[in-house]
Amino acid sequence: MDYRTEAHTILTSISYNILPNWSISSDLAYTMGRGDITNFDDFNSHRYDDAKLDLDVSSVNPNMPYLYDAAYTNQMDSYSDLDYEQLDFNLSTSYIMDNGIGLHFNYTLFYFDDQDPYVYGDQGNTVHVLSGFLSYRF
Amino acid sequence: MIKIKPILIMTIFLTVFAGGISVQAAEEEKWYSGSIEIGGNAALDELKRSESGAKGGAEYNSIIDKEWSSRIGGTLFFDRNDITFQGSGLYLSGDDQEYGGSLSLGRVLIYRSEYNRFIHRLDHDYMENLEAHIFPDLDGDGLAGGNWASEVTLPDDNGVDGATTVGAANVYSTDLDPNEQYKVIRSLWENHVKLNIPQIPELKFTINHRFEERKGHKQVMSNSKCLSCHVVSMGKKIHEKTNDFSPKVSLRLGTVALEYSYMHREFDVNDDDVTFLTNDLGRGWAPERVQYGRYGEDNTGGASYYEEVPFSRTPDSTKDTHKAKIRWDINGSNTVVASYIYSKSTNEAVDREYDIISGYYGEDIELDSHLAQIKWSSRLSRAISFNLYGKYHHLDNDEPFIDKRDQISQLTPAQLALYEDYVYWEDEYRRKSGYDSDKYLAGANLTWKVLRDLKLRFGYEFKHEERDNYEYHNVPEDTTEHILEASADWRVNRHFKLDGGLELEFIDDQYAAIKGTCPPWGSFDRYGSPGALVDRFDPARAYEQPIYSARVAERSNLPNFVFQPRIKGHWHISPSLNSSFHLKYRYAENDDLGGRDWQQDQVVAGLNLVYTPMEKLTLSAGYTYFYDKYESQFCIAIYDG
Repeated sequence: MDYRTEAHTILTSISYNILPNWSISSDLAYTMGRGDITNFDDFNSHRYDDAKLDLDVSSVNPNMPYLYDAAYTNQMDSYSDLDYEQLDFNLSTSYIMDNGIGLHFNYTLFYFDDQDPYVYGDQGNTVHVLSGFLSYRF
Repeated sequence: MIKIKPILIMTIFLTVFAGGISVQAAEEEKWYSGSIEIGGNAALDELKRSESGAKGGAEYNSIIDKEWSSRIGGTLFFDRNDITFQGSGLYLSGDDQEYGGSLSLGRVLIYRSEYNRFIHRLDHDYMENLEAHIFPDLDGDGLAGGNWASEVTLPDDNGVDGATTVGAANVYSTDLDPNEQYKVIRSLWENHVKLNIPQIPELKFTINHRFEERKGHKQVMSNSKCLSCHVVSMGKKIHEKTNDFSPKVSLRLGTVALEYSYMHREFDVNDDDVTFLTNDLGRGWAPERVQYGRYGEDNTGGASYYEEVPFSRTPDSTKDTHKAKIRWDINGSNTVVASYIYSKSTNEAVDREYDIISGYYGEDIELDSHLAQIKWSSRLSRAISFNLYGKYHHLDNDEPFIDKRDQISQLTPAQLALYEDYVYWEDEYRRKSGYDSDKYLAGANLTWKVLRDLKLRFGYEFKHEERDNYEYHNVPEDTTEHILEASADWRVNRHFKLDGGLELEFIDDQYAAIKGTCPPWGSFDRYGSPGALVDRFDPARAYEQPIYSARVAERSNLPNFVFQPRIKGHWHISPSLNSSFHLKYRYAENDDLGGRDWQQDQVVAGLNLVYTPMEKLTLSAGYTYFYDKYESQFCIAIYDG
């Protein structure tokens, strides 16, 4: 079997001093991740056979007549699937007055979309955070 | 919008307040400077309790736990009368703080200190992959249908007997804390003191101190009393403290520099104890059967006999390290650096009255490490320089004495003789460590400046590892690696620069699990079939002899060949536009596993642009592509009993 992971990441940023004492900046990071198993069928043809692997258990379970039959484990390749998107966005601005007092505002978005949750549950979340603070240089 | 209001009110108030301070400060002499910042954060969409939220922005973020949190920070610097102080701090929440500072007294005594604290949200494994009932009771009669379909009663979330299913081949799980959100608060405090003696500038003393603390809850898992078919998880309170003290003295005598340092580490654990109850441990088929020492259980208590078995323990430990280093600047072109490091790590949690089921050996377990290394750097000419280096590392771990409780075996001597070759089959033995090894490394690299703008580099490294107890751990006796590297650094013109190289690795007997997979035909038939030997102990009921030791194929996810080219470049496209790119490919394989090969293809590529159309405006953009593919043999786990 093959296990493949693939990720695309984009980073951008901008920084602009609108006035000598007023600046604005923004940055964005986006990642798209994928992971999956392929060529899983090889499992069926290359296994080491054993009596219990092909045991006729039809009398016990007619819906699964042969023990460990690959036909009944055909969802295994999806267990390791990975499919997520992550976006971190930040926008901030600062204004510094002549007397050393500054005003700062910041907006941050954390976004994580877990499109194929499994053992850890759905880890997706979206959080917006707004920050504001005053600074004084002396 | 309600949450934004406190920020605005506080901002307006502080503007007025700080404006008053600025007038007062301006009137004084300027031998100091600093800043203060006060404000707050509003989490407009707090983390939902239903979200495990351990990924994305939530993983290390403390302020999203509350709708409103404060932000207080500041810096301070002053320099007067040979006393220099520099400090900074930022408080976001009780779980998110950082402070740092330094104090210099006439540059004779210099003290630096840093502290930070942050949250780390941990994963919660809901164990959804541990539900494999291959014999569901589809007909609903609750009756076993054959030798491999005995009836099993599953405990519910409270540990009480619940639903009944049918089938010996089962694995299932119970989460005793399904709503718990696990997290750890990690804090680190580091201190550095440096003493320079003006009368002896060649002599310097330093003391470093490091204190790390991890406190919180994490998820722990173990088997239940029903052994390996039933996995139980719960929350565990953890509290770990690591304290390092590291004095160091260095002395320079002409062309020779000497250095000695010592490090003492205390790792203290005050976690909650977690245990699971056992009964009828591995009893096997019939209650009257005498069990052979699994977990040390003698099974004499009968079906109602329970014993608490501790699990998921982190031991207290200490580590002492001595390091001696010498550097000899033979002349302007040749330098030799040599060092020797000895360390002793001690597990201090096991020196209690001998009780093998609880992991107490009646003595400490110590790991000794000896590391010696030397490097010779030489510049033959303005164009050619080389390094020669070597390293030797010896590890020696204690071998604790294992004494299983004496068992009664009803096998005949002839039957027992069939199993005497199996390493861990005896009642009493010394547990051999996988750490015990000798590692050798030798290498050389040469740098040749062929042209003013072209530099070539060639390197070779030889590694060899010998493992003392390879047969106990089913790994290769030794591994040998040859690593070849060639690279070039070429400045094509004033605007364009290229850097590329190729690395090849050839490994003999890579680290692998020998007998890792593929039991031969008939193994599971040899593994004890219920119904036979019901009144006596039967070694064939254990996996070791018919399955584990009988496997025929190796498994490893480490390569015995690696091909790894790389290239990166910088292009100064115009005065306002810069770019860079990088591309790295890795092909690795292991075709020495006795079964299916292991193979890896990996690509990492990226492009970055920085555009500065005017002094006040900067734009940047980057893209990275990551691709990784493993080809490996898939092995299905067999549950049988």
